[in-house]
Amino acid sequence: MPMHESIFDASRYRYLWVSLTLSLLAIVLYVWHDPIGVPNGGSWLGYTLGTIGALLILWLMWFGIRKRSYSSRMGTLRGWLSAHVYLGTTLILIAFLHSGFQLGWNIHTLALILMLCVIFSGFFGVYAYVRYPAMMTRNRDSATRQSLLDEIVDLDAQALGLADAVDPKVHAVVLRSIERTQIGGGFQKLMRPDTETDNALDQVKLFMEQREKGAQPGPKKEMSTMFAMVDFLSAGSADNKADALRKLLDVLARKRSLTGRITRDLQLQALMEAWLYVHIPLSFGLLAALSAHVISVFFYW
Amino acid sequence: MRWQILRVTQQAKAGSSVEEDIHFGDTLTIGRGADQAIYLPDLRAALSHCAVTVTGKGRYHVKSLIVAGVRVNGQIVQDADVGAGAVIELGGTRLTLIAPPRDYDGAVEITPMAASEVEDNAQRFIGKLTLSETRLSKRWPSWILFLGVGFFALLLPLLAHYVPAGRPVLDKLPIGSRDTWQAGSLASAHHFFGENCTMCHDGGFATVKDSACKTCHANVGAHADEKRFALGTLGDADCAHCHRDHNGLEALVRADQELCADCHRDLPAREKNANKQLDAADFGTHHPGFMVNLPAWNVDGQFTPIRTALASSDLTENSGLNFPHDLHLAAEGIRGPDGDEVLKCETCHQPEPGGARLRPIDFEANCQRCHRLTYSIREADRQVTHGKPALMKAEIEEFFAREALEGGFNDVNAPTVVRIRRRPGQPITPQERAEALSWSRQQAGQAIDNLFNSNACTYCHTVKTDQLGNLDVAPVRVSGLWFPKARFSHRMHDSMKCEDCHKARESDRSTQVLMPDIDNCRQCHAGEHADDKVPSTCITCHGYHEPRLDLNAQGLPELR
Repeated sequence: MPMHESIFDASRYRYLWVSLTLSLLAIVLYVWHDPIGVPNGGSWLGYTLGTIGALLILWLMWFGIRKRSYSSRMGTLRGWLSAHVYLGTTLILIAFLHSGFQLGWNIHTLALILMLCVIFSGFFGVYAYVRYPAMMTRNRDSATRQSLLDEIVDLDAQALGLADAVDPKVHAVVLRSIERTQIGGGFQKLMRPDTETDNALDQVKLFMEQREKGAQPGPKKEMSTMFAMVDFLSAGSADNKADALRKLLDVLARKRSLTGRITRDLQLQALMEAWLYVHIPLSFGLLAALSAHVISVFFYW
Repeated sequence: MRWQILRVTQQAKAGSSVEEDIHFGDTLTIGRGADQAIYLPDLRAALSHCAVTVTGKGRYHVKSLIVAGVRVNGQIVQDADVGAGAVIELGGTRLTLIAPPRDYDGAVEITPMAASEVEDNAQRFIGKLTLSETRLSKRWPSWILFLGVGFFALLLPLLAHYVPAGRPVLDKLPIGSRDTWQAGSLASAHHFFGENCTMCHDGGFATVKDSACKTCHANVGAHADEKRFALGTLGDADCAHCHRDHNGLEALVRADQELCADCHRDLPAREKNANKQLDAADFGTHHPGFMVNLPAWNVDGQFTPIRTALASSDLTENSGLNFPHDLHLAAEGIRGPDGDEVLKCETCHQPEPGGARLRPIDFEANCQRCHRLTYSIREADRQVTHGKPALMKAEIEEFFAREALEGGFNDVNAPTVVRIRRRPGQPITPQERAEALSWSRQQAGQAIDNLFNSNACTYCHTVKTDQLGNLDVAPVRVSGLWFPKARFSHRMHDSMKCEDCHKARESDRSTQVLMPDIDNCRQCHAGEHADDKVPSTCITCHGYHEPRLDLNAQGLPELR
């Protein structure tokens, strides 16, 4: 047994071979088959492929139940998922050969469209499961999500202290960004990165630029003696302010990077889940359309 | 304005205590600055964070003085009009605006938050972190889709089937009508009732019955006689065995070779008693030679053609006609009334209007211009009517009788009564009349004998004389339909020359059959799966339904 099995190579690609064999068999029969008129679902091959397709759909949907029955000993879940993916893909071919590539504005084609939507949303799921876990691990950089969140709380407290030492205006800006920063929430919030910290960072930088312009040596010469005195006396505190401002910028930048990583983390996880919110409801729509398809065909046959 | 400020402080053991303070001023300022009416030593508050004004009895206006806003009743706002009971949260402090007691305009209660609550609030920025925590659900969209599709795709069409009263409305729905059940477009002939499913499908879960087809297709013939053949081998004569609708405009009629080959591959073995058909499964490789209808007459003189294999070596045609094709088609021409003429096949064989078959040869149209039925030298344009021997004889007899009775006949051998010119009204004696008619009978007899036996008729016909000495012409009939069991269109073979199939130029006797056998067709045609020839299935030439066999009747009338 290999060291690591993915859903693709489970049991040495057993289900890939099963699917390829099934596909090849269907193609050979389709080419060999010579029905009355055009190839269609009503020939013996049409009925055969239709039955195989319908049973496959029921079995593929059974995966939702198998997934939850942790005590089941009927094969590994990975094996089931592997078969689910490969046989689900084969279903596209089976369905088109079943209908003889005929389409129309009817519930039969509706069933086909729903089936294709389910399968293609499943393809996205496969892509997400293959690609996103590694991206998430890299993004988190060996930290847990909770430790990242805790660090943000600490950074907020630090930022407030530093901002207070700089200027009430800066303090208000930082306060605002802390109040408005939101991580997670609804579907849209999970998908969108936080911009509040960026805003705060921009405003603090702007403040710093303005302050540096104001501190240019030029106007100093024209200052009256008294103002020069005040300026001199406050020079020490001005040093402290500049120091605090630099630190504040560091803290905000750190926070920005943290919120960025967390939102990316949430985004990837949401994408890994989101397709299921399409895949599963459409599967049930397909189940209804499939039932209507089968019943209507035998109702007026 | 008088403000009552109540400060609640938590004691370690004895619960809480309240300190009361009074503030005078229009606004109640709150912040970390020393000049604020309510001073909060908390970094999460700005120096001057917000201001509260009284707008009415127990009504307040809260205004944030910084861009961050202020959290009132859990929401961050810049401005808010609130009533008594509104809660302002600022850092670790909760300020509740309460209804002012008598003599006060406004009142506020200040409570410090518990440490755990402050910690929770610090994490307030953390929302729902996974989709499963959000309101998104997989369950109810699944139900909606399942029930919605089921309703429109299954329930409404079923309703239309079982409630005929609702059909006018239900069948016109853009979604959910029975139309959406149609697996494909109907054959073009069936389009006019296409929306009315019950025209063909009467019950649910039942195949279309033959009776539904026969409602309209009443005149369709059966394939073979049910009495003589075990029709079970024909799929119980089920229309749907061969005709499947809903496959688009084409393909309602089964045209594949297997349609016939299924049974005809070994039909002679299976149907020994009733069948005279030979084995056939593929035109190119597995098909018997052609059978022709050879002209023949029964003892009563009725035309009863004999079905014979074309390949028989002793095959001679007996049409009753003598006609040498080679003479007429001679390359140097044949003597005609206007000199030598070169004839072509189509000089005589003209196509019917549809072009499929050729018109029958007609004496008046095709032969008489050269083969004139004259009988009198003196009146060379006078001809007898062709085809009716008795009439022909009467015409000749009448002609000579008139000549004899009119007189003035310039022939020394003729009796006097015939020679003298008689004036109109001049009487004739019975003796003279008998003499004249005797002469004319003799003349007519000569002319008839000449016409029938020497000059004209025997050219083409066999002339017989019965016991009483009466002349007659043997019956004539060409086959007309040589291949009554198959279709052949001359027009479809326009690109060919006549002599490609019919060896007329080499035929010197009319007893030669000029119909081509299967090898001739096989030069161009082969079975359905032919690569290098015209693929021809059985129904390219043969029809399936026998027009003379009524599908609704039980067997042929003569066999019943």
